Amino acid sequence: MTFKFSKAEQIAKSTLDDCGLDDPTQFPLNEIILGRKAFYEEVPLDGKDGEIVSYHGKSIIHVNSEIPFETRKRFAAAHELGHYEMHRHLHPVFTDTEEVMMNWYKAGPQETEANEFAAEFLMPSEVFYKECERKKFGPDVIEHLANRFQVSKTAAILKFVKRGNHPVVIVYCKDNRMKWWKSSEGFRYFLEFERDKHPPTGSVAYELFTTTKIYSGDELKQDIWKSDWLRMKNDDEPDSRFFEYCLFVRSFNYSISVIWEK
Amino acid sequence: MSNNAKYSKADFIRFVMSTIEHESSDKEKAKEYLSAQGLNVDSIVSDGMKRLKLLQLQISAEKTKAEMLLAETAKHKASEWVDGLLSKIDFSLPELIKEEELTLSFRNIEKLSKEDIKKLLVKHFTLKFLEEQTKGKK
Repeated sequence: MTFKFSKAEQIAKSTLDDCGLDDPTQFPLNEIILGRKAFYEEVPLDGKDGEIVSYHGKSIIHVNSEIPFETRKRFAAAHELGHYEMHRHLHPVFTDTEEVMMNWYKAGPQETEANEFAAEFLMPSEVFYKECERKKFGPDVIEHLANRFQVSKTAAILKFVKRGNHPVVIVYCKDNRMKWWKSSEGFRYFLEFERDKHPPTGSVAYELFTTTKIYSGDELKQDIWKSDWLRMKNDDEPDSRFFEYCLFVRSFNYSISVIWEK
Repeated sequence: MSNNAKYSKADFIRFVMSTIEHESSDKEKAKEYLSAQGLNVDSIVSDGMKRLKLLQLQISAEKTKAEMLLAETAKHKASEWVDGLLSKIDFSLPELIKEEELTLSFRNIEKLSKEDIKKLLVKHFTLKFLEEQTKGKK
């Protein structure tokens, strides 16, 4: 499998190569950052996940020690490493919130680059693809990928859209409003999307936002109709079955729906 | 080895060494020899390079940790400096930002709390004083 890499992803790959690593889970991330000559500490940061301050090429990276999940902390650290490798000579200060980390495609070019860097650094595409190979897509694959690369399920889903082995479309909703979507290259359907509108009433996302329902285990993958999320070719087209796996993060009131053909 | 042997032990070692020398002094021949023995030379070289790079990374990490300890003095100085700056009646953050070329990405200055500003400035001046400290030593 050959991939096209963005500039940020290429820098992530060459950084891993410089470190002598194929897979960053082989070595502690804080040691990698220190080895790249950036000062690194985990300290309490008010309302921020990470921060980098640079002066004449030297940088101090701080990651919020109070982030409750190691996987999120890890992503924040890799994100700041991305700023260090790519932007420390351009901008002396980056302060990054959870919002910046989540709004991948909306947070400005340097934040998008730092997120792309972090995703490629923590989940190298070739290794990621191998982990997906010969597996039938479903929530268990996402869980496996998240555990394998020590990242959150959110990060694993976002990577899967780009480098996974099955065509899917994902929709990010915040406070029961659709914010952005992204589809795999091979996904051949049109999503009915309008920014800031509610997700469709027949969708799992809408159900989770508006009720106290929680799906777990085998129920994580729900049967939906194509017409719930996707545009029909015409009125005569018979509706067909699709799947929706909705990752709902109640603490931040956001969801990511993964939709794929049955 | 009998006393009638034509060659001594030293001769034998010399012979082996000359063969090794001959094979290994020529990169291509060495590669051919090792491949013929069923070894994947490219993979061995690549693994070796990775190990060296990882060792370099570990050494570099230890150096950075030592540098961070040294930076404690600069951090203390920076903290006092920033306290002094912030207590000045005519202190202006926009002017300081301009003077120190401190552009903030993504977040607006207005959104930063006083504590945020202080922490940012301490980090900035720590790095600045550390550089001066290092230059002074040289």
